[in-house]
Amino acid sequence: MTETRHDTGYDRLLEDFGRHLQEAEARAGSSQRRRRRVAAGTVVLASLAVGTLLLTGAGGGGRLDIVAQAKAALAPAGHVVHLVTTSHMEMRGGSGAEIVGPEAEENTPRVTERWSTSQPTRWRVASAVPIVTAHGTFTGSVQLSYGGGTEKTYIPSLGTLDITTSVSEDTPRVSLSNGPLGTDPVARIRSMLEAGQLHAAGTGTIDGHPVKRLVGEELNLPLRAPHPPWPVEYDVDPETYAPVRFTVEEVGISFRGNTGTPTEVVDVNTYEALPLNETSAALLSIHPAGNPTVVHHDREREELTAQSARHRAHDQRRRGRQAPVG
Amino acid sequence: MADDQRLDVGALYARHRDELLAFFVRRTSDTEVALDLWGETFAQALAGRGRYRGGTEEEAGAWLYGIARRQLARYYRRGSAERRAMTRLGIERPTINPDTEAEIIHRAGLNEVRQAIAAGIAMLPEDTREAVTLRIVDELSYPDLAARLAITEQAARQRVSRGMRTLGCVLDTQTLTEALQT
Repeated sequence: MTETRHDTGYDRLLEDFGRHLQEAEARAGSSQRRRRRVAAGTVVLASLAVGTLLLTGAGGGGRLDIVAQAKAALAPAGHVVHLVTTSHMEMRGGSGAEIVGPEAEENTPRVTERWSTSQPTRWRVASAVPIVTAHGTFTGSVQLSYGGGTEKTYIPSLGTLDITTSVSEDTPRVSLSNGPLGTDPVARIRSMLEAGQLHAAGTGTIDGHPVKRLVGEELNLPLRAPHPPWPVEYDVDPETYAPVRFTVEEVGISFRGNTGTPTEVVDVNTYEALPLNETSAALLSIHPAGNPTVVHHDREREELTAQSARHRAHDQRRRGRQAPVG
Repeated sequence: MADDQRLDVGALYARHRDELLAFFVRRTSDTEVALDLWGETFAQALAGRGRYRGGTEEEAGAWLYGIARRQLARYYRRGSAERRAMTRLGIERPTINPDTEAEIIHRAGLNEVRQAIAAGIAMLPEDTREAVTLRIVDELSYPDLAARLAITEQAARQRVSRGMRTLGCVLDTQTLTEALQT
């Protein structure tokens, strides 16, 4: 006896979920391949993430004066903004703030120094980060810079200078590739302020000092795994509106053996706006010592090559499906 | 799919997707909870595939069901299904319409399981019995069940999961054992 059935959506449900699973596997595979490249000798650029913070989000509104002042403090016309920050992770809302277990090793406070200017966008970031090589992991200095479509990465301990051209400043690679706040956190925060994604949320106190607080939510961004909105807090000096602290709660992320929400905390130790002149402009560029090995990359060409490879693979798959059996 | 992994999650999914969903439906009598557990199990398999040390299809299936039973045991203990791996991987749990739900129930043979549950319900304490009867036999939603019993939805979920755990002897002895041990 045959049974007559109508489409209940059952098969579609299972196929859809299978596709989501496959897409997630592709994302995971991609990030794993990135990690392997790191192990082969390049530095973990993403490790700068620990020293920075993600600030994007929805919302908006709030008092324009605070937002405008905070924005102006981060991009004063004709100045180079110099920031020194110390960042660490802590658990919030759990039984203990201190992280225990495997993640604790990665959680040593990290000091990062940044110089940036706008119109046009240029920045340099210097940080001590874990450098992973085929011979082990050690802490070393790393510098990254961006300006005029060229991104540079300099690792003194390895004696390498990677130069990538054709990099647009508004590509996710530049703004987001290196951690929660991106390679240039100042630009990231400013873009949040400009987009109305941070809004005034009263005042607070940090280490006994009063601050004005802006809050928002970091939503899913390109090149990142989707996640629930992450609450973001941006504290500024009530008089100068200079940045004091950034925090982002990574809701939905858990660290084994810990309770609560992993929270990135970036404290601003130094903030100054230097007049843009020959001396301060030099701070925006990397000045390698000695003769590092220079490797050139062309982002545009690499993307075209990758695209071409994808098309070839697609054609091969299609031909494979059409090939006669037997 | 990643070539360098010992475990082909896509193939594992294709082999076990239907039977694993039925496994959860029969053991929770709740399609929503079952879909949570089912999705989370595959997400955990994907997230943890680097730890897989087996080689054959049978070993892969056994490994998957190990994850499934741990998920189920945790649900029996806590009254709620975990979605951590799905969230972390950015995988959304599927939503269903009444037609799909009816087919899931049909394929799992849930109506027969419900009869077995109804038969075993006498062994439950009174408050748990009432919660399980309203949820599993009368198919009240959790909000309605909570309103009927004048308790919170969370308490209602816990009461039902507690009852299901007790009824494990008519459902799955191994799962019950794990729930009691962990």
